[in-house]
Amino acid sequence: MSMSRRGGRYRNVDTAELNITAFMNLMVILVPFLLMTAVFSRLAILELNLPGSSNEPVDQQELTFQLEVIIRKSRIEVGDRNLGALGVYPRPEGSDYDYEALSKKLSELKVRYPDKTDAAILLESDIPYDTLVQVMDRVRVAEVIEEDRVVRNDLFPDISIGELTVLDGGA
Amino acid sequence: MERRHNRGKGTALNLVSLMDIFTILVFFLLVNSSDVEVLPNAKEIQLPESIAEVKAKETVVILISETHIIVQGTPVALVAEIMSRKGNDIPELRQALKSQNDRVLRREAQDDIAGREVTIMGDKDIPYRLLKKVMATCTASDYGRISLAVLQKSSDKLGNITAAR
Repeated sequence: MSMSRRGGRYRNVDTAELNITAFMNLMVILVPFLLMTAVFSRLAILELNLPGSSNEPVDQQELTFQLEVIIRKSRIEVGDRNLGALGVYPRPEGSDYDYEALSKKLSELKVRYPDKTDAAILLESDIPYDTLVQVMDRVRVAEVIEEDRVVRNDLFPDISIGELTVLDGGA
Repeated sequence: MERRHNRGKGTALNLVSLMDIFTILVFFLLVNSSDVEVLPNAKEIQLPESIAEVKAKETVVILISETHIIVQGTPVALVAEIMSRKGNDIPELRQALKSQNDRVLRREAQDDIAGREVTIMGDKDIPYRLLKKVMATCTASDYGRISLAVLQKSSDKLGNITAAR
């Protein structure tokens, strides 16, 4: 009975008068608030594991493969601590380092030494932080395009950082 | 007055589309802001971009701008002063890190010295020399695990794929 009466009333009124003022107030407040607090840049972290200040014994330098990536002002070198350089990637004049070639070389090394997970990055003291992060990215993962998707393969995720003495003239 | 009132009653403002937009926007923003940002929003420094995916954790934060070193929001040292100094130790920073011990550290990390964590947010243009001094001071202050904060970016190669299509 009551249902039919209500339905009849609605048919007569041309627009349904829903009181949405309170809802609108809420929205008007909520939207600017959320817009202000929204963060559109996502932050992530790169983890480093440095030896603590405790007197842990330095592990023996065995004659195994010790990957080193050396960043100089003029070039990037990939090498083995015991054997020396395995690849040198000079920086083209006036442009950025050749990260593509570095990435390719590191992928090759990963195929040869699949169990190796650690690497050392040595850099001159004037190298900007940004360069360090870019090289760390290339050492950590390799990006391969497979079937229209970017696949990330772990290379050497355990990175340690060291300093290099600046060479005069460049050997 | 009378006339306006009459007209207003006749043509009700159509708010349906506005409500639709607001509702969608509110839900989008609510979902978007659900993951809590741990790191402070630093507008004065430009973080380097990286493809790293590890989420930031609740740790002590050291912010290195071009002029100041800031620990948990309080400036502790001037960069120019540190750069002119020899040696790796920054006494002001070490002092500040020591005083952080009980307040911010995770409970289980308080005892475990090697497990203490610190996050360094550095401007992308700072030289490694400065970063090294800060990191050396961190390890000297018994913060064994250092994380570098970076801005997450999507892969460079995604652009190549879309270009190839």
